[in-house]
Amino acid sequence: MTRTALFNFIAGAILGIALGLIYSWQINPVKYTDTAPDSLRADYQADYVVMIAQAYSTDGDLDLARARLATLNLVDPGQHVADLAAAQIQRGAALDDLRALSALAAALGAVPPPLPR
Amino acid sequence: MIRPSLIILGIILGIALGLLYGWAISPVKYTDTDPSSLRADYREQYLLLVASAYQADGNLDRARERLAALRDPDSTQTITALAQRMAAEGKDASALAALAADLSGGVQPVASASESPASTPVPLPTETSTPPPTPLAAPSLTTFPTLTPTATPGYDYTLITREPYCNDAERLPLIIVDVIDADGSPLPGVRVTVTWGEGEDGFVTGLKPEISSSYGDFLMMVGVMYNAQVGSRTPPVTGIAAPTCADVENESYAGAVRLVFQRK
Repeated sequence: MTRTALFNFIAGAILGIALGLIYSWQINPVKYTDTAPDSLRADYQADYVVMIAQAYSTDGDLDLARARLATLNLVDPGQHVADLAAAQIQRGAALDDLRALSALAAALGAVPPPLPR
Repeated sequence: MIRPSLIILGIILGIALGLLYGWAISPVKYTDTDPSSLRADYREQYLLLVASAYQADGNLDRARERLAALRDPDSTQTITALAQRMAAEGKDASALAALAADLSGGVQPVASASESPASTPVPLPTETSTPPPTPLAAPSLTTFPTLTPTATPGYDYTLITREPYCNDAERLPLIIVDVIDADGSPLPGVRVTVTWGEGEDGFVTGLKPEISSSYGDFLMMVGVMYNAQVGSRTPPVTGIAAPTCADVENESYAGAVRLVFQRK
């Protein structure tokens, strides 16, 4: 391959990549649809877990709570809930939320943080 | 000299490399999304969680904030539709029904566990104040799934009113059921089972909060006798049939039957 041919090839490749990017970024950019709860932003995930804990506090259905937590793909759901309870204590969350999180964490085998008095 | 064939080859190879990188080597990972992008089944799960959380804390503003994250232009209608579908599947839709009712201003929020319960009685709809009822759905001949206990599974109810209900504007042979608490406040989410002949169906109160959060209805077939049971312990009301009504011009039509139950 001559130098001119190589230049043409590289120019074509760059043009191809540029076209691909124009298409993917401008003409048809990514739209977030059909996502799962594990892709939620951290604050939404935290609230999602709080809701799971609140639901568990009313229905007492641990299997259902486990299934709901599974959609977040957590390595250790119980510890995650306990950690969230600790974080919620730090930010002064409502005592009912803390109780719900602690109860769920304990039910999942984790050690919940002591609740504020 | 520019050789077009090499440029085209380069473009093709470039696009292929771009796709390989974007799809295989470093595919898109969705992070930091918000609930509005959730897949349909996860959105329903989210709605259920919002309703269950509302059941736990009674905080309607918080429920509204959570629902706002879904960017649903009519979340009340979405919740109502989901509750109706769940009720039709024999699942417990009481939390959704209660949330839909409260979002529509039907009843006051329930008190949180740490507060003393305080419910605000809402007057029962009367014939003059109630908008014309509309049917939920025509009764199907399919057997309703096995009953699932609702939020009020162990309660007894007393039938306090049974009356023909003639509405010249609607002219629908409905079984209209209102369920109220001992203090007169409306009770959404109460399951009503309707049976006739070999058929069985059901509905949940509160799915038409624009009428009343205590309200539910069922469209009868004319000439068929029905039984309606509220909850699972109260004996059914038997022998319900569409009464004959007459309008101002004395033209007859099949009317509705209105039943009012009060929880003991």
